[in-house]
Amino acid sequence: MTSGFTILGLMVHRFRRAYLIFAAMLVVFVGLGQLPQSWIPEWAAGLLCLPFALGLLLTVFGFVNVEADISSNASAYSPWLLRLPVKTRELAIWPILAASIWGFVAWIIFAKGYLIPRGVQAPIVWPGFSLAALALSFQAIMWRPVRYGNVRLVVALVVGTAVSLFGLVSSLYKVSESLITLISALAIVVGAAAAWWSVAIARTTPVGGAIEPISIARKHVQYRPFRSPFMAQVWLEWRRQGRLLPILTTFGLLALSLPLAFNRSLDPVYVNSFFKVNLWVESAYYYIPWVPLVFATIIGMGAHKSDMRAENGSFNLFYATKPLNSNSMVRAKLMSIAIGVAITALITVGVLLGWLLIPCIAPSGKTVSYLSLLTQRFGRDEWIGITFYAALIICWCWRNEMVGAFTDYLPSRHYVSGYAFLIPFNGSIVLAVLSIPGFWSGDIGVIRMEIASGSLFLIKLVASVFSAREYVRLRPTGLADIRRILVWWLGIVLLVQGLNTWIIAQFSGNVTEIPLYMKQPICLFLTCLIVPITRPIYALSAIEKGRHRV
Amino acid sequence: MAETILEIKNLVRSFGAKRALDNINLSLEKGTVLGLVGQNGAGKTTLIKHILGLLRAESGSVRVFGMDPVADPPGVLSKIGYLSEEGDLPLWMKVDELIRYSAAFYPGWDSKYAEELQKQFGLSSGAKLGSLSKGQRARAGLLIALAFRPELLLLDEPSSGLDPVVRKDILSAVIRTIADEGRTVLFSSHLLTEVEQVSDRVVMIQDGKIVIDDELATIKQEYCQVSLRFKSPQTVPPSISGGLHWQGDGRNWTALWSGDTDQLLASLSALDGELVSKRGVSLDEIFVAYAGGEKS
Repeated sequence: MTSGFTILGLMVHRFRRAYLIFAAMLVVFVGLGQLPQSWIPEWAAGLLCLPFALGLLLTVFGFVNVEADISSNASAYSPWLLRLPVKTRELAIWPILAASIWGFVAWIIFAKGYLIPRGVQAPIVWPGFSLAALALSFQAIMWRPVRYGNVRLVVALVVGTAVSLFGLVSSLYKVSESLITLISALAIVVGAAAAWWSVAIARTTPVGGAIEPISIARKHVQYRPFRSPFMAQVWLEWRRQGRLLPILTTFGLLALSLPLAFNRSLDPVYVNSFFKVNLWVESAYYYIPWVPLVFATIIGMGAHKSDMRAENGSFNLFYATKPLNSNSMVRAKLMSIAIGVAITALITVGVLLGWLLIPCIAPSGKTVSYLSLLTQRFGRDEWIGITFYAALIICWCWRNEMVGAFTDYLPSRHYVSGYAFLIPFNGSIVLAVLSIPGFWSGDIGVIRMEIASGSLFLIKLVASVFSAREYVRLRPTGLADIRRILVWWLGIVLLVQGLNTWIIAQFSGNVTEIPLYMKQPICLFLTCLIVPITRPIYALSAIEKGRHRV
Repeated sequence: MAETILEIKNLVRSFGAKRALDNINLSLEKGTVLGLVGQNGAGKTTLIKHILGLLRAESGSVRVFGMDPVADPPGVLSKIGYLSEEGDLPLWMKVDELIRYSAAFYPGWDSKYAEELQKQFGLSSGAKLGSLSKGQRARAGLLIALAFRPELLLLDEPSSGLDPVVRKDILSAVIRTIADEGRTVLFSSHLLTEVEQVSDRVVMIQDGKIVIDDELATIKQEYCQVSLRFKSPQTVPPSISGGLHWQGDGRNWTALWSGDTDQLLASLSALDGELVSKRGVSLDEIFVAYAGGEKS
């Protein structure tokens, strides 16, 4: 028992304060649950779930190793803990118990103490079981040394998504709670056994728990030399991050397309008259464009090769000693991300077209493509909407990958871990505010939009000026780079803001006639996408601090 | 007069309360092979990181090829071949990818020479760096440090933890670099026999300060091991100027000594002692004396 506490203590030592804060947060939630419902507006009550969710994830994954590199081939179980003179059983069982009990109990307290008193019909047992199964499956995946880190990344994404969505999707399809609970309990047993096995393998694998990849004999290819140092850096960034998006999106789209291989039956749907279509195509094609965005966000939050920084936070010497300036380093990263997004867009459009070319049967009995069926439904506004929607997702993918890319250069692992939690938290607040009912309606909504987008713009401007000042202090010759970025950014922001204002003005007095894609929340949303692209300034400052340490 | 490659003036660097470099002054002329020696934590790597521009000088200045390495990283780094003990190569790269990537940064990259080194080191093009042994990875690092025939070759403990065969490869590479006219080498190592084999000048750092900076031949001429005998037993090391790392007990004492022999004899006769023997010393012995002894 004592060694169990010692192992757990050592495992979560760096985040010990987070556990205390989270426990205190649970007490506060129970207190809030006892307050009259009218005291806390519904949107604020919903917003309060975010710190719980983030705290829960951080503390549960603390028993896995939050800081581990998911794409590395080494075990995420701390090597020095593996060398402790204790049995493998003890190394495995305590973190397994801790992760599952912590997640389960925290959910029960939150659901019973906060959600149910506020009138939310929350299930009690299966979400707790799901959470425990998720933690254990990640322990099994992360603790096991593997031959190929990228395969682990894909497995983690697939298993993580499946375990997270299983209960939710099953309950939507009215599967009984007892069956969901039973299956989740089975997943816990399997996850625990797999995690235990992973520790056993990690313990017997030499050199930091990594398995050497099998070298495959291949024909020697004579590569052409790079045209310039910049192009070499673009290639490096492509290998480190850029290519991940097309690869993962391809996997994601293949997974989404899998049901088409099994279900080819056509069922009737009503579009002016009855057509016979494949129901999977009908119900799932909307999701295809969102697949790359999900992966872009995950990559942007740090799920890519993280070898740019050494353990002490400074630049890895190999990269730091390459004769390239900071500006080119950042530009190379942005370009590699842009190439990845462009290829991903082509893949996504190709898959979407493939789906839409699947035949369906018109009322006349004639076989037509699903695409022609869709075009019947669309008018001018829909086509404008689709174009806008496609452009938005492409920009959004680039933006989500790009805004997280600067963390590669941050001279501290703590900042990077904090960033992965701060960004979804920040984004969720913005989304929660955007979805407050009635907040945007009427002319007052226009003023609120202007205030909200103006504030976001100002906050980012202040942060960017602060960061730019730091950069210029460290590199006086970099003033021109900063000027260029700021001018571009200000130009784009002003353009979008001006466009927003013009659109709103066009429809003033008749707000109800504004098309969906021009409504105030969408305009503000566009601003939210545009405003953070000052990040290259942060990246430059981070390089200066990490590469030439004060 | 030979061109100055490196000029460090009054360089100071602290990490918290610890002064890692204390008023370092150092210059390096073209064609010199400088051996940088000192204990762990003496400040060797900190000094090298200043030369590479990875650390900003707290006070003082660092100029490499007349440029500030922090202000102009491409200008300085494109002339420096660097190999460190840290094994910092990206393990996901294959050998041919490493060569292709590195070649892009150096206009003077010599593909033929790179190929020759690759062959000599037995590095397979398709092998992933992560799957290579530590020694093979060091060889890959050496290849990219040498293949553009750098004007300054900077080796920071390159042999640390490597087997004798790899150490020999590194040493021959240094010798070959020296043979290339006008190449300059700064070689930091614990393995003083290696430093002795290739260096023509040695700088010893102790607690962030330069304690020895001279031509190797001069250093070896200047220092010697003396054995002394006294008529009456001495309870503390004899007070003779120039003596370092006194060892002994009672009547017999030995020390590393530098200075004028006549002065030594005069001091000895004053203390009623005699010089029993005097012999030359290796760099290793000088290092141990400085690292473990108090200068009297």
